[in-house]
Amino acid sequence: MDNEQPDVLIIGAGATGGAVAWSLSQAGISVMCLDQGDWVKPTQYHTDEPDWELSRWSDFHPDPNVRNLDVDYPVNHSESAIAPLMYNAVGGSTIHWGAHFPRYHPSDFKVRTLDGVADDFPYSYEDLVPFFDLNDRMMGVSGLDGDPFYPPKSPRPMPPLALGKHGETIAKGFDALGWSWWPADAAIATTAYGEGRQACNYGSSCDLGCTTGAKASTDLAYWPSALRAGVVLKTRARVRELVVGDDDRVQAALYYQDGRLHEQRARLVIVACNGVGTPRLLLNSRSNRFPDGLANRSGLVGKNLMYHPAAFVTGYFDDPLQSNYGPVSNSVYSHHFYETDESRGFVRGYQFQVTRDSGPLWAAHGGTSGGRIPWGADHHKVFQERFNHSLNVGVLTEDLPEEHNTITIDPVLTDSDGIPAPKATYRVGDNTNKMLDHGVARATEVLEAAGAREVTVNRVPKIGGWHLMGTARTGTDPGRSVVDTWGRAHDVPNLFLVDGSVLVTSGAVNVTSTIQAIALRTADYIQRTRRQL
Amino acid sequence: MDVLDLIIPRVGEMPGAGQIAFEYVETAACGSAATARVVLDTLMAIDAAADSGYGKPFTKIADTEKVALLEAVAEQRPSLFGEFVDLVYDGYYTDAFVIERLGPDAGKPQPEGRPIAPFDPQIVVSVRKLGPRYRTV
Repeated sequence: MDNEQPDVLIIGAGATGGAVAWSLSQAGISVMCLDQGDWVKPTQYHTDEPDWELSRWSDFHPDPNVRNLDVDYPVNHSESAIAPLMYNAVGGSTIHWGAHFPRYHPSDFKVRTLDGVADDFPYSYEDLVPFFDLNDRMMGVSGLDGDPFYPPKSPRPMPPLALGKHGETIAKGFDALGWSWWPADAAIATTAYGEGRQACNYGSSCDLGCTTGAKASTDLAYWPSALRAGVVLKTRARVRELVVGDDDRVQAALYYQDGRLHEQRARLVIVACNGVGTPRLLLNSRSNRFPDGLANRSGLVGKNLMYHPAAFVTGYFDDPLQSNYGPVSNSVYSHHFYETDESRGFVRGYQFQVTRDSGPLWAAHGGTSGGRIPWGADHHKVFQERFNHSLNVGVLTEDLPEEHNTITIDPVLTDSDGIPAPKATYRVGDNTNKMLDHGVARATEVLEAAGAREVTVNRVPKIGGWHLMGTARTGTDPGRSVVDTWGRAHDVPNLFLVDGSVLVTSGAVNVTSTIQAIALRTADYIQRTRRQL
Repeated sequence: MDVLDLIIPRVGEMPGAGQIAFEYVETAACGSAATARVVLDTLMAIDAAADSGYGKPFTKIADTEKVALLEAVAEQRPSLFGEFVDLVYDGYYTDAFVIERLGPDAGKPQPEGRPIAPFDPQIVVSVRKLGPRYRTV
């Protein structure tokens, strides 16, 4: 045994791992966390360098297969319409996310009851409200009270981000059509907040790391307090498998660090490795007790993979729009078409997420539209027409759980430690395709109402798997789910899962707010019942 | 350089890529086997097309014919040519001289950030009148 045995061992120091580590540490529980990544220092961000945009295609590319840092592991996505995207570090994918921070709707928890598809969560939006509110304060959320798309929320910790000419332009389009919209809740500070975090300075380079600390990432929002409370965080510690005993309890995690294999025991284990990494770890943890993978007697570990298949509809305008003034993912949003209306020909709905653009190189490569500016005689003319004249309406669709969409273990591919890598197999469903058709048409409509002279569509870009969901789903029936209402594995009494893998439905919103609230609820349960666990 | 100047030509105050991006492309090719392969394969495809279509080297072809030749190569080898164009764009749009020509919005975003007017709550007056839009459960 390498170290003292903590009460709780957490695998993954990202969005949910950080939140859970903090929560448990505040209750005096001894916690250790292992992450295969490392701390990312602000000096590693390139956004104050002349050639800053090149990092988007190298060390800050969202696809680990392209980025290929030593802390990354490969994912075989050759049979997936969408590539899973993630970042391995203390803070996880919150290092490179856009911090758009909507919650699941009340209806997202009761899809089966309401619309006859998918399944219900065994808990409700109301059950999560205290944890949503706690997380909003910890992450530091800016927004405007009165959001029409939700039941009344607690006062937003900070005022909303500025919309600028870009946001004001699309708002006019929504107003002209009588469609509801609102300034997005963002996990981005608009005032000084927390420990040394400055207000956003609207540099529009969130995906390349935030040098001001305005954008919340759990290395800033949760980890400092967790470490002060005594959490032990080991970085560059890559877990190979979880070892289980004859009592079906996890005995230890085996992990690589500094070129050696280590063993770490704990009373409880919490896995927070995202919707790809968590099923991968469980499926790699086969044993006589669990020949199909740890906690997988239901056969559902790795199944029901959900993304948010998206289309990006870009409008080009005659007037310059300050398209790269402000956080790239946070402007106006709309859930006007979020809830089911069967007259549309599909169930459930989608989110409009208005996004900004970036620098000139991003524009030349095609930006969000995906259409490279043509080379040749017209290059400069087209560039001038597009750079800072663009406005994107992202259509994020609700994905339904389908068991043929999976994360499995690739038979050949491994990471640099020889651990078998995951394979994503995924196709866009019929309901989603109909939803995309509708969403693209409505997005085009609102852009034209706002004054766009040209509209392009980038439908289901491959580099689009930002949200990884459903692969170790929650439920009350051990035959139809992997974890119970508290995130506890049905088959493994001292194992909890707390990332997007536990989601039953995908909603049509960015998931971080909801999975963090779910994780905090799990942590609260562990605090209350730890003597029985 | 001829090829680069056809990818992004000189127009008005905007320089051509031959002047701006040549060194970048050369350095990138020296630093990466994969990039070197893209550059060499593209140039070889261009030379082969010039030889088969015109019976002479690319540099000896009339300018009007050079564009048509590149368009043909782009059509025959879209993936390869696209990677080459991306490489040229990388060198061009990260060049300080070009950034200066494009104006302040093209510059690095940090540490200065961008100037933006604060949020005006008046903008949501009409939306508030539409009332709530969520499904009760």
